[in-house]
Amino acid sequence: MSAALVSPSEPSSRHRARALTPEGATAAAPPPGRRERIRAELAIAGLGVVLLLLLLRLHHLQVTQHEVWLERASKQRQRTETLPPPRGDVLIRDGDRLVPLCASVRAVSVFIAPQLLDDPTTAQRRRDEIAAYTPKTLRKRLGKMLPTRERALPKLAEILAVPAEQRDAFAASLRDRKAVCERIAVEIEAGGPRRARALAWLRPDRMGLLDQLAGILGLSASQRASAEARFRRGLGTWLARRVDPELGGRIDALRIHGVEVRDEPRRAYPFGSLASHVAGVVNVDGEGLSGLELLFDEELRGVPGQRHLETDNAGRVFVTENTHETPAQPGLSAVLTIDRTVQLALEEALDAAMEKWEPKAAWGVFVEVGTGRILAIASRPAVDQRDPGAAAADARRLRVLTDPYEIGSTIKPFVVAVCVDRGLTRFDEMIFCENGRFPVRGRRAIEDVHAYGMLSVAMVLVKSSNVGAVKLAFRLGNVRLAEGLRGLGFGTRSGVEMPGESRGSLRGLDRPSPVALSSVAQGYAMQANALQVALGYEALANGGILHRPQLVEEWRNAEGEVVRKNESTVVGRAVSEETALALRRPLGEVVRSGTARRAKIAEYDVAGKTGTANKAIGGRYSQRFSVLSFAGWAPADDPKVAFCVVVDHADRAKGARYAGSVAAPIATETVRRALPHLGVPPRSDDDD
Amino acid sequence: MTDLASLAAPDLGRPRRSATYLGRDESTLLALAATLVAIGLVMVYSTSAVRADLRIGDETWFLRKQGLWTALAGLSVVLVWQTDADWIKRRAFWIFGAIMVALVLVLVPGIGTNIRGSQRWIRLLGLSIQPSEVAKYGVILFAAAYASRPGDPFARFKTGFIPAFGIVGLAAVLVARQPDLGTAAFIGTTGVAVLVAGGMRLRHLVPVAMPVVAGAVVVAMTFQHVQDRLLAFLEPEATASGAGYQVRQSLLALGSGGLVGNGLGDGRQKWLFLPDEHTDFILAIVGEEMGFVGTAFVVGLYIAILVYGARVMMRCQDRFRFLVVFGVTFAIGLQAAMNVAVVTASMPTKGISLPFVSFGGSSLVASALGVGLILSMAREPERPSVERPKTKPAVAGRSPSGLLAEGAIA
Repeated sequence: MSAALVSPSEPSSRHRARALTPEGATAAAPPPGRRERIRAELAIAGLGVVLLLLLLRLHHLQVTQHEVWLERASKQRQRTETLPPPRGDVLIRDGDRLVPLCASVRAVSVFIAPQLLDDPTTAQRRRDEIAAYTPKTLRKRLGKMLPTRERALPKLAEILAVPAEQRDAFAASLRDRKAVCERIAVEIEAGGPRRARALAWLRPDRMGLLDQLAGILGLSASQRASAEARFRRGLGTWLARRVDPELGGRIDALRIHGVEVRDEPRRAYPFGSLASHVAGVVNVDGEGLSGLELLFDEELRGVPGQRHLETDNAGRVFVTENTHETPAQPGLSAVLTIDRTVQLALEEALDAAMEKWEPKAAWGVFVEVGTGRILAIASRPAVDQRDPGAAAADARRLRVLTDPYEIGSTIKPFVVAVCVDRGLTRFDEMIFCENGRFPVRGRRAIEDVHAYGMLSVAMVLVKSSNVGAVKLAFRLGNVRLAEGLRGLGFGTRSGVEMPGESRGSLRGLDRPSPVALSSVAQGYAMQANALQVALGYEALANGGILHRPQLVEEWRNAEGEVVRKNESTVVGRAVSEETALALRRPLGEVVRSGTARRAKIAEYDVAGKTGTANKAIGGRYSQRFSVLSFAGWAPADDPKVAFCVVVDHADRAKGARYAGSVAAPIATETVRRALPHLGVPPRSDDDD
Repeated sequence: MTDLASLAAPDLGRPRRSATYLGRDESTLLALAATLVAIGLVMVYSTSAVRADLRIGDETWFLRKQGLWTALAGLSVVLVWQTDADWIKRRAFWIFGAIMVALVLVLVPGIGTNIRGSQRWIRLLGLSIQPSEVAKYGVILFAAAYASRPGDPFARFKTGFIPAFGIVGLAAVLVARQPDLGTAAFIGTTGVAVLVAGGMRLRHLVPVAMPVVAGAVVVAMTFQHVQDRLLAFLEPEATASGAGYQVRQSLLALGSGGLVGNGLGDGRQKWLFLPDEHTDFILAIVGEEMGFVGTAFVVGLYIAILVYGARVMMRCQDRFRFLVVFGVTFAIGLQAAMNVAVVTASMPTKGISLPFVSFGGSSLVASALGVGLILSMAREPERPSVERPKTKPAVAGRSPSGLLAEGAIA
């Protein structure tokens, strides 16, 4: 510097000396000559030419290349969002009304993008700067940082930890922004922890923010921890999925850049766990995982829409003329054949039995006679729809379909029906029941619980004589019996609209073995699921026609119009009408005076057959655990509903010995509650 | 101020135009500059509202600040306009000396404020002042005063050329040290232009300037950000996400504006895509919102400033006045040309604002000082000193012959 100033100092000092006379300076310098003027003009003209050339450049960019740049520019701010379609509802009947078993309701998800939150290092620098300010600058700076009272007040309230309920009074005490900033300045000047607290808001306290959000959303400790882990790694995190929109509103109101609240409809279950296995569950992304949600995922899901947005470079959305959207097409709603009252009655009866007998599981199904429509279908243990993840894996099965079992004596009406149908016996034929003990070659003797001598075929059913049933099966032989049972729907899937149905098996009838045949006649060495059994009884009840079960009655669009209607489907004739009708009396007698008499109800005559099968455990039949079942229809002589109820792994040690006292009451109790609702008045006393 | 009063006193008796004299060309110049400032205010608001709202929570923050600067700029114009041209001439070296001191001080840690790696600001009375902006016009005063010394100041290489070139060069080097290479090149070019117009011999300049410029370019190339910018200039698409990002965003803004633009306020590139959208790259948003019509109008205004500046210049009979008017006109035109060239990717990014239009107090006030200088130079026609002795020998205390004699000595 000094060296540089030496040289000008010489002309400068001389100049200054002369400067006392103003004329001196001007007088000595010659006016600008021709050379100077030309040079100056050339320089300015040169700049003019440069500016004209730049005009050409601007014209080239803006007019000639306009389209190219326009497209590139719009591309960088366009964003396409997928609009999730509202998922279709699953509806059931409740009298004349349709009520949702599960429905989509408005819900929000909260996403946090750490990289969009304020940069903490910048804030730290601001903190350091503030620390160095003089009191006057400090106040001015605070005024700039918090330009409005609305912005400044919450900060101060935060710094002073004013309780929420005192916020209004607190706000009233500070009339303008200046007063608020002054108060903050006082805190900062106080030094020590007060200063630290006052400056803390400058740095976005990320964990504090997370705590605040977790508090609003009610996150559990583990949810918060996993969010924090992702958060610390700078990863975007869903803090909550599909929660109450009101919570979303509260978070939106915080206006934190980087925290996004997005609409995501949620599945709601107005009846809690009612028919939970039928509805099934969806995952967090709204895809069906089980039940109807899985099977009809495509119909229920709908078609996603698209929203084209314009955003700024920080990802904030602007509404412009280029914002447009293709709306999502809502999914179709399924209307089920399930009736709420019947379903509720069945579930409560199952719950009562579970509590009373403490079996491993219990399940049942009610179908409408004449159509095969499923009115109620339930399985215990059940799934709590509100927290499906907590359920044990084996509670998620709809055992009516998934669990085949040895159906025990409930097979006997089928054996008798097939035998009568083939003309090999009549209901009034007397059969010698060997006084309760009938030796069969290759196995130990067939035994009856009570010893019978001569019994009519009808009475074989009423008394559930094993000997009688085996003798009739021997007349049929394995081929004809298998044929007959297949005609009644055994050994093949019923085709119900639910995933996971088992086929069951008639393996005992594959070979002509008297041992196997005698087992099948008693409901062993074969397996079926409860729905197959119920449908078989439905066929017997309706006069011999086997129906395909029906669970979805119709599909409706979002406007409630029916877009597809399912009709009841006949599979074929299983037994002759005469045979079927003839079974009503003996099976009615079972409840009136036979094995299920303990389950008799005053209001309705119920027809049915009990089944008690020892549970096969480790290749041997357990003497303690059994499968107790009851299948039949009601009312006995003008059937409206057919059913099958199963209590699995019933424990004799707990008194669960007979199907008549364990399984049958579940069915009759359900009948008692369901039939009035289905338009069948209970018997009045004078009918009796 | 006392100095000013005592020095101005001798002039009082001198015949002069009225103190508020404003010639036709000067009025036009003032109107052109005012139009640019008005466009600037509108565009500063339009460009900064988005960022201001996001960062500060007040979308008019920049506008209000620029409004304040505009008032200050207006005041500066009046103040300089009302300052006697001869007084300025006599003080030219001192003014420039003070600016040089400021340029040194800004480099001193603790005095200068460092923002984004550049030490360009001095905090004074709560204001951030950028000495290099004022230096743009200070160097003109220096060069004009130097070239207006009696006799032929550039006759000799050692005593004429070297001090002038060296001092202009020193100013440029000091600014380059901040680092602010764009402004340094600007100061060097403006200073040399005034010296050349003032009679500097080209046979002196060319052999010295060529290696100096070449050396400066080599030194500049060692700066990383210069390399990046150069690469970004040469390959804009390849560096679109890095150093070339800003220029590409600028082109996206200009190009998408088309002939008439999206309409005022409807620019999209200011949605945080284009950095410095309210300062150095404000013309890009002008182009996006007002189209080629808008940018052509703005560039047209600068061409008009060149034309009217030249007209004022050509009327100047006094060497100093002539050179100051030339220097200021040239500086405004050069700054505009450099800015437009950067914004249109015709030149590597320089950090040069658009005079009168860009947001920024120092830049606006400095440009206003320039306009004020032109008005001041034109306000009072210089008179041949020989006409004057009659009126004030007593005050001056010297005879015309003495003056002539002294002039002859120089």
